[in-house]
Amino acid sequence: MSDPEQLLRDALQDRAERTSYDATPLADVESGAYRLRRRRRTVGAALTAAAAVVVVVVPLAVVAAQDPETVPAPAPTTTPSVPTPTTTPTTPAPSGGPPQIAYAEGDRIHEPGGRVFQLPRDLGVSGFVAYRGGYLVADARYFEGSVGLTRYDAGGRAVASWTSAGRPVSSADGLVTTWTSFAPPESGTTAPTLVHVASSTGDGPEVTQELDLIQPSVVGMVGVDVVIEGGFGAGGVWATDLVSAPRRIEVLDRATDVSDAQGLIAGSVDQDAIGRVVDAATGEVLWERQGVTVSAFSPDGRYAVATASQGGRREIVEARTGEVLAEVKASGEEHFPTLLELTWEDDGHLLGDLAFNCCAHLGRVDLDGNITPARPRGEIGGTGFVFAATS
Amino acid sequence: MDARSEFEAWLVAREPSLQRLAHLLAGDPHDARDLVQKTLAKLYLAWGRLEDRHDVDAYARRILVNEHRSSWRRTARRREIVTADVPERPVDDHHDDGLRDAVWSFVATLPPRQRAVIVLRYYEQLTEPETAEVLGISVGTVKSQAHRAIASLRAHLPQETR
Repeated sequence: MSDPEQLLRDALQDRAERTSYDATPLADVESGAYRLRRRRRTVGAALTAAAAVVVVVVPLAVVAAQDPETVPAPAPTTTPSVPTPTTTPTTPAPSGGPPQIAYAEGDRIHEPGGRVFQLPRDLGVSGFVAYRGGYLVADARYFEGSVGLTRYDAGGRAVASWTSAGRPVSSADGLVTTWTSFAPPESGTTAPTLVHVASSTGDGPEVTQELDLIQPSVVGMVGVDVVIEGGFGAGGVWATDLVSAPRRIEVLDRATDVSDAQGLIAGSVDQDAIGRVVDAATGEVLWERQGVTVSAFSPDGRYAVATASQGGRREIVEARTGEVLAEVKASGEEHFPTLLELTWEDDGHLLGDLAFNCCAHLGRVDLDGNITPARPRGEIGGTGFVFAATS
Repeated sequence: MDARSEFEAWLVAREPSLQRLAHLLAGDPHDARDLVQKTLAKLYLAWGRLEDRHDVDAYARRILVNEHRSSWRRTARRREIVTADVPERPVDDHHDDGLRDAVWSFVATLPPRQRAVIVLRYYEQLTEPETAEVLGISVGTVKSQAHRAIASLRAHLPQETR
């Protein structure tokens, strides 16, 4: 009698050895890698090129129409009323200085540099990104998992709206924006459930894919993939390049954030009892921890924030290993403030929406976990702060 | 040695084993080639953040298997035909009187996930927990998939070889 297991070993080994292969030249690998990158960046690149044409060609055209000997050098070109990109800056945030990323407070979006973008209606803000010269804003009209999503132009006018879930997210380089849309079940209307990917300035094409999910929300973008949380029904975490059918990330039930820089997805399983960090390319669980939620990767993907399910204690952890680097604490304060939201300002600092002594505060957290004010204290009963979402 | 040179050295040394695994998983040289190219492109992009070069083989295998899982899901509805019947026994060759080819033909008829379990367990020599981890499934599923495949193979082997 033959041993089927040994037969399998022999047959597979035999088949593998009998098949010939052509070696892949390094140039072909690099070409494939380039195509992978380009698929995602095409929209943004087209936009950047278009913007460059506007900035460079228009002043040159003005100069060319005049006598070159009488024309002074063109004044520096400024971009008209385009919001500052909401991606994190590369320069370190000055300790105690104003926030270096945009944040929303009530119906106002504060941009780095001091400009304030006034929203026409105070519907609350649960998330936002700079988009097409204005903003794409998820409001706070929560209804059974859905929110309103509105595009405001540079002048603050609402020009389009959708029903969505979660919040819009921009790519790490700020060039591409993604969000979901669907018909709310209670509306009695039918419309496809879509994930959208578009140039953040709107000059390129908008790509959509229909999803067989109920009220999905976007988590972020990793490589060519948009990572989506499934919402009701099937739920789960999915990744799609908007070409192939979405594939399920089976080692996660929910997702909280992604790091494009490191190719990571943070999320949880077992009804949020276990926090995990997963390699987006392989689906490998890099580490997990009971009783924490992992979120907020730093821009370089080296760090993440772990929040204890009980007590809400926040820790800064090494993203790929989970090693605890620091506990977020209120330096010089008697009691810890409650951190409502925490996002990275740059690779060395976080900004926190703090509730402390009945006030809303905007605090800056360094890598040692120390908190310092990032803005004068807010008013009692303030609405708190919401930060732009990037991958 | 810079990162590009390191990648090239790895590529020269290790691509053949990746190609072999891809062929066994995909069952078709063209699909295998696509799998390998996607895997290499992703590995190339990730190379700079792979701090431990000793883990590259396992990392590449994970990407490959993950790509394969995605591809079988994409194509399952239009291409996969699951059948309980083993195809015609191939002609004998000089290797083993055709038995290994018959076994390979059987493997090629297995549903993609079951085939992946078999390839990882009996070609890559991974343990059940390792196979479960790579495929993102439970150890119990690995056991049951392998058990079904073995039982099915046993039932379809020529009488004199059982």
